[in-house]
Amino acid sequence: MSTVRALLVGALAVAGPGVVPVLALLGRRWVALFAAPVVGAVVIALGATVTVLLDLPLVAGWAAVGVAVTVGSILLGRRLGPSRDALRFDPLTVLCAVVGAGAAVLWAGSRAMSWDVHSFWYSRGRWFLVGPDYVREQLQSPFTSPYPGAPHAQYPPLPSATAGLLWELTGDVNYFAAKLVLAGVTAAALVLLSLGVARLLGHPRWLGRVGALLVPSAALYFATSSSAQGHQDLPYAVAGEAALVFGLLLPRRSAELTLSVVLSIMCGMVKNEGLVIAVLVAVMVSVRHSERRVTRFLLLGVPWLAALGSWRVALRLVGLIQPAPATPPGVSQADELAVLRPLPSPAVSTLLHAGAVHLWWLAGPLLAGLVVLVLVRAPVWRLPRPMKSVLLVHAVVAVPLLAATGLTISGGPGLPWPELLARTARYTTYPRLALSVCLLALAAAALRTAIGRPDEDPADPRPTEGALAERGPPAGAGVGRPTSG
Amino acid sequence: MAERRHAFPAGIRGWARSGAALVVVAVSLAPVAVAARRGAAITTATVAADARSAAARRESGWDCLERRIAALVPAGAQVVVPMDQKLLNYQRALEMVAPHARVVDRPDRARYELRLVRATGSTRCSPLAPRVRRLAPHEST
Repeated sequence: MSTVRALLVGALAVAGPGVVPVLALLGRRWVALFAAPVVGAVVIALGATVTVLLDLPLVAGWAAVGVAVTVGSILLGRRLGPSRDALRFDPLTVLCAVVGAGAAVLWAGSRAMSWDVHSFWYSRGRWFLVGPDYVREQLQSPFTSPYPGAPHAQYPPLPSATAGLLWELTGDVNYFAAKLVLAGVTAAALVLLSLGVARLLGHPRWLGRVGALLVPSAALYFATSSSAQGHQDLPYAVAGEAALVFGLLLPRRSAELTLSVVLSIMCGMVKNEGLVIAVLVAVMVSVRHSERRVTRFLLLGVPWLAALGSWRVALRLVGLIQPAPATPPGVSQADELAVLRPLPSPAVSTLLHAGAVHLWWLAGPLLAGLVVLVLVRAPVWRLPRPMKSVLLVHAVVAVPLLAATGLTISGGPGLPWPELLARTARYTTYPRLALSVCLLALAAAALRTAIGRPDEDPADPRPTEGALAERGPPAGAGVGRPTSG
Repeated sequence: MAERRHAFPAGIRGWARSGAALVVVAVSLAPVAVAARRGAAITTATVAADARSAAARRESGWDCLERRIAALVPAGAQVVVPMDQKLLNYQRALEMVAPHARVVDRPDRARYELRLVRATGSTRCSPLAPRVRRLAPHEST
């Protein structure tokens, strides 16, 4: 089967199961067009979990989860009612987001892929072609990981299951088509992030459009050029940040909540690093939307966290998570690398230094800009409330992620420090993306201060006086009262 | 209702405040713009490299390696990957490029031994080449 036909099948398989749920929960909006592939990718990942748990073929697990999500979303959509005011974006902002995201995934046209991508993501997809018993067998093999510790095979299943489903449906193992389909899912998440950032920045609108254009390419840089080789750092970081923006910084409405839930599950189902972000976002968003009612918190948080943890739970239930296997006979990878590049082993100080190297040129301007903004604002020593929220929620997510990453890699592969330094660039993908969004929010707050415009809280959907004046009478469209999620 | 504000505050203090705030805008946007430019450079470099490489449009090195292993090892055959040599990280993940085979962890369960060696000669399609040895009955039981 040609790559074009395989790509068409893949696009239908990924976006198709997402169409009805997004129409039921988001309505006919521009944003639904980009949410559908994300929902579809999540359905595939949950289908892979069902495959491992119930010993079913991947297609059967995918179909079962697809039907369940479709029925559930229709019932939920009827209960919540149409959300007329939610998530409207003007066409120019959407165009900026699409152009920015498209420019950031043009690398998908290259067939090149790295060893890790080949061995972790795409070849794992082939296990699903053999059958669920083979998937289980390979998942527990210590030889499916080139590194000590838990096998890389036990990474979350979204990328490999998406490739596996595509190949199962087409009957042809086409790596290039799989790379294109996964790039499409990444592009959809990038568009959603750009739209969320544009809405977060608010007025003046041109700044939001500039942000929508810049954020995707900046995210690609933070995920390093390995993304062009098929690595999955870009989608998990982008989905995590978009989930945070929609769930915690934009209005507390059902449409924003829906996007936050879907994007966070995507984030947690792509990489283990994403699981840390996704769980923290899920807990914070559940608290925010529960309005201090325990029942509401449980109704929202428990199914959400269950979906996020389903892969790990499935592995544990079928006995695939076991103590780290004994080191196979012979030299280890760390021994071999030490022979090839005899350099000092990493220490905690080296890890901290490596992290600081990648973060200072974003954190420095943020701190300096915050100090100046606080000094020039009247009354002095006050930051705009939205800016405080942006900083606080990003700190809550990024700091534990950095700590978890440092712990993991300090006790993990035992690589020489230049190797570690190079890898740390990818380990700080999410924190650097979060810092960029904070910088854009700071620019918006400073610009409003410069032009004497009142602060706007993007979490409050009611327009400010300034926005009403700019919009002109009548001020009916796009204005709504906040509703509970 | 809040008082409607003018575009820029009046007076020297107001202008100084606006100027400082505009500096903050520039300082905040600059790192993001630099990161976006570097991200765009990644994209253009990848596209340019792909355009230069005709081989990349035909078949990737991994596709080629897989095809050569598939020609040497029958589908479903039990294969062992030794862990006793250089290119160890490649050895450990070698089974990933032999997905049609069943990789086992002990030689006494395997029919074939599979290694990666550095490719030589003019026919190489990847930096690595497979070397397959059929195990004798006393080795594989």
